[in-house]
Amino acid sequence: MVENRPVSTFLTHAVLIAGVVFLCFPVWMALVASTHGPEALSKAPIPLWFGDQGFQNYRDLLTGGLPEAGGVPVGLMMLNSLIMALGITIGKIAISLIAAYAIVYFRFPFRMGFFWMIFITLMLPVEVRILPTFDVITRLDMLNSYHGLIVPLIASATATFLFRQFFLTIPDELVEAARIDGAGPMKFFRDILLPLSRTNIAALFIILFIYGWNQYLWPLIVTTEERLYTVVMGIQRMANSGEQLPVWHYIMGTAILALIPPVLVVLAMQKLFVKGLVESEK
Amino acid sequence: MATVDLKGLGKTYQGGVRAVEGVDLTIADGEFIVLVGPSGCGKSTILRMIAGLEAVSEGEVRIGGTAVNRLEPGERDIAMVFQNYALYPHMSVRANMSYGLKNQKTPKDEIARRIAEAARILQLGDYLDRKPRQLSGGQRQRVAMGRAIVRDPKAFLFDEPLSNLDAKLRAELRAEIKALHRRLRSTFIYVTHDQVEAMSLADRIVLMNRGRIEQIGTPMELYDRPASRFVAEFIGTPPMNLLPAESPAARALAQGARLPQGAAWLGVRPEALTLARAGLRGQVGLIEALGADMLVHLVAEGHDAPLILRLHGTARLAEGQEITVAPEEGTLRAFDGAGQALHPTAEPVAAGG
Amino acid sequence: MKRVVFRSKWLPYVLLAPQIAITLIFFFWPALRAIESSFFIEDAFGFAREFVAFENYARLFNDAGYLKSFRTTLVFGLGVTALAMSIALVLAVAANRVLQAALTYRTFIIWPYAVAPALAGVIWFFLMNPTLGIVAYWLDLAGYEWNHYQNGDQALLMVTIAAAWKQISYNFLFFLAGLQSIPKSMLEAAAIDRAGPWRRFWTITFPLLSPTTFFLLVINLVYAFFDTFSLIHATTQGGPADATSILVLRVYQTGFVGQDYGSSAAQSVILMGLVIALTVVQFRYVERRVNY
Repeated sequence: MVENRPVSTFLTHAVLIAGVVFLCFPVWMALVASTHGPEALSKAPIPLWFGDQGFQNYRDLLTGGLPEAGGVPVGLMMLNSLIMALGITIGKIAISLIAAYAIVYFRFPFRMGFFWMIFITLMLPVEVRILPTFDVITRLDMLNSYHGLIVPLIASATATFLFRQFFLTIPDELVEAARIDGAGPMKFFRDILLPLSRTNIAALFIILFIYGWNQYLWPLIVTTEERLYTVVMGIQRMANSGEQLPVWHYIMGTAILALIPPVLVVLAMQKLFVKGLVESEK
Repeated sequence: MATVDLKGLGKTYQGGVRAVEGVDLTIADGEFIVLVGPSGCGKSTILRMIAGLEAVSEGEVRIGGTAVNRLEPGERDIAMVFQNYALYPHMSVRANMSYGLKNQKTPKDEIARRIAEAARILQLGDYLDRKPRQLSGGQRQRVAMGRAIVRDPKAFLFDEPLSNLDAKLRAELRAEIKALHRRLRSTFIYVTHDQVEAMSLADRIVLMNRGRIEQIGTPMELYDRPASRFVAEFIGTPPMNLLPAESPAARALAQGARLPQGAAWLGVRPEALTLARAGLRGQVGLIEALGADMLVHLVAEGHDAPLILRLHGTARLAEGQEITVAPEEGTLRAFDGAGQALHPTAEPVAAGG
Repeated sequence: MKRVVFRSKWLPYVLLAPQIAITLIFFFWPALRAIESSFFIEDAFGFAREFVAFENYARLFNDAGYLKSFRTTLVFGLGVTALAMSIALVLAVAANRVLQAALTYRTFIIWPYAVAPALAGVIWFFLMNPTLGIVAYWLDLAGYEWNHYQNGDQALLMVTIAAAWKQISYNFLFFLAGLQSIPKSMLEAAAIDRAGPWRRFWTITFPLLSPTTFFLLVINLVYAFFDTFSLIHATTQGGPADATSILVLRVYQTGFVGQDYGSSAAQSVILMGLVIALTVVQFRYVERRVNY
């Protein structure tokens, strides 16, 4: 900025560090708690530094399963989460790409009607229409299945809208050149449009992966069989285990395991993620 | 290589806008045709109808004698060079050039041979594995031309290919395009709004105005014998001087010669006016010294706008000086009230002595 | 609008078919059924249903619990939005001042975006646990008794903090992008006009940031109203004594736990109205921005 006074620079850093501490502290505590045994977490104050039970706790979680969580190994829950997240992400990107392609590159009756039909779904989050949607899933016999977890969530107004905006920025001359080069609609899509959309697809992949991984309500109502539990909804059964005292070292370990994949994705692809998020929503 | 014929070609957009109407044009095999005119005159629309990028509303496009109205662009065997290059940004130069051939299922070694040939002609050999974004504007346009050359098409279409380049590059590439035409002897159809490009490149110029052809001819025909006031004013910088035929200034220029029946306007090119004993008197206004020559604004009696003279750069003139000018013999042009040239083909109006 | 388009009578419909099919089956059909069900009373087994017109709605608006949920949702939504946006703005302004270090700080600030609301809730639930939570312990040392199992206001405060904690990253990124798009020359001109840093912020930066602020306002409200279902469901489950029972949670509990389909459907319809209103507001703003 314009001035450069040491005092204000110091204050600026102090504010930022305070913010970082506020954001990191809860997860730090979760991480610490996950390395202790149940005794260390039975009375206040709980330790602020790591214990020596970490390895054992995580091994128990990933393989053994907890009676409190229906005995499902967290490793299996994470696998389910991964399948659901990837299914939702890939499905959303695939059907949005081709839908946006149809809307931008073709003229046909009811084109804008279809566009608005897709767009209006933005207004109907699953939480709002949960019961009738559950009803539909039951009628279609999609309970307790991976496709029941995935398919209803892959319609995406956001992704369609985004790809549409991106396609509109691609110069007309590129299509014209491709047509003169003898490329038909599917060839143009595969050879030109898809490679050009790579960055957008990657950025959207990150955002949608997080969306898919973090689903909670949908797996909660669609799955009643433990083998299909996802980790984000599974943790809830441990935290609210009723009569028993919650096993905090396991719960926090599960929380850490559940947040590692999406956090890693964000941090590893930070630049792409920020670009994708800020540019897509603005 | 082929002829291109346009017969009664017309284009009407949704909402009834007539972009092109009644265009008849026969382009000979190996001819370099330039379509020129102000923006919105329909020149690009004609090119795009030839390419098949725009549907033909009426009339017919024939390439090599075959009607192509219903063919896809890729089936017409033409190549096109665009103003913004339209290179595929994710493909290397080599891949850009080979894409069309691959779609035609040309054998691999044939593709390699043609690319090597095009790269040699355009001096692109060092750039074949680069991406378009690593190239300068001039190099990109060369690649675009290379992409056209390898196709060995029946006709090359150029849509304002030099408009995105700076003046120096434009002059360079203009010469290259001309040389390319010499070498290939293929049919070139070139659209531009720049009359200098049109003059320097064309075998024949097609000057368009409001969707219609205003005049077709060699560059010098258009310059010397403009078919209308529009042509006279569009071709040439600065444009032809035009005066109302009945004004005292026009009479002074004509020096008593009889103007053709119905003449409403008299025109004369800036370089056709020379200092003389008798003729039009006026006062020297602004002088624009351009080096080789100078443009002199002459404020004449009985004429509001100054006349422009192009004199040799060494002429000794000062602002405010009184001079007398007269047209060289055979250089006066007359136009009727509707702007059409009178005697467009016969002897021009003589400036009597 | 594209100038050149491909011609095909059937291809565009084929390309659109998957998206449209899913939209029809999983969005429109349920939405219409919700509207339909909201006019009926059904028994728990779905054998008998009776048309009751607007009775479900009338019951809701005479239900003190439902009306309280409205107030809870509003307090919660405004609380989350105010907290998440103000902290994010302060951090973004600070990060924008340190330039080179901004990227490092950004790394430490953006990652909670990836944490599921449910997990954010569970972790804060642990931190504030009255018997062993570290924050509750510190509050106790400071002489403040914390027990969100008993105290409804404290429970609401806890979920508000947890929800805001997760949303700061998102707001931060947008505020930072907004700040970075303000031309430096404008602030320099203001400095030459002798405006101090504080004055510069309120007279130049903040007004220029207003489109971002407005956009985030809507996004944060939508987040707090709908996406926080999991956060509350995984922790307080609406309690104690309905103190944290926001509207989306009620739709679920009335339908799945209470098995009162008519009422749940009526609540769905009301919420859809709310989302549509918010989306329209946002859309008008988006339209306007497009015209800039």
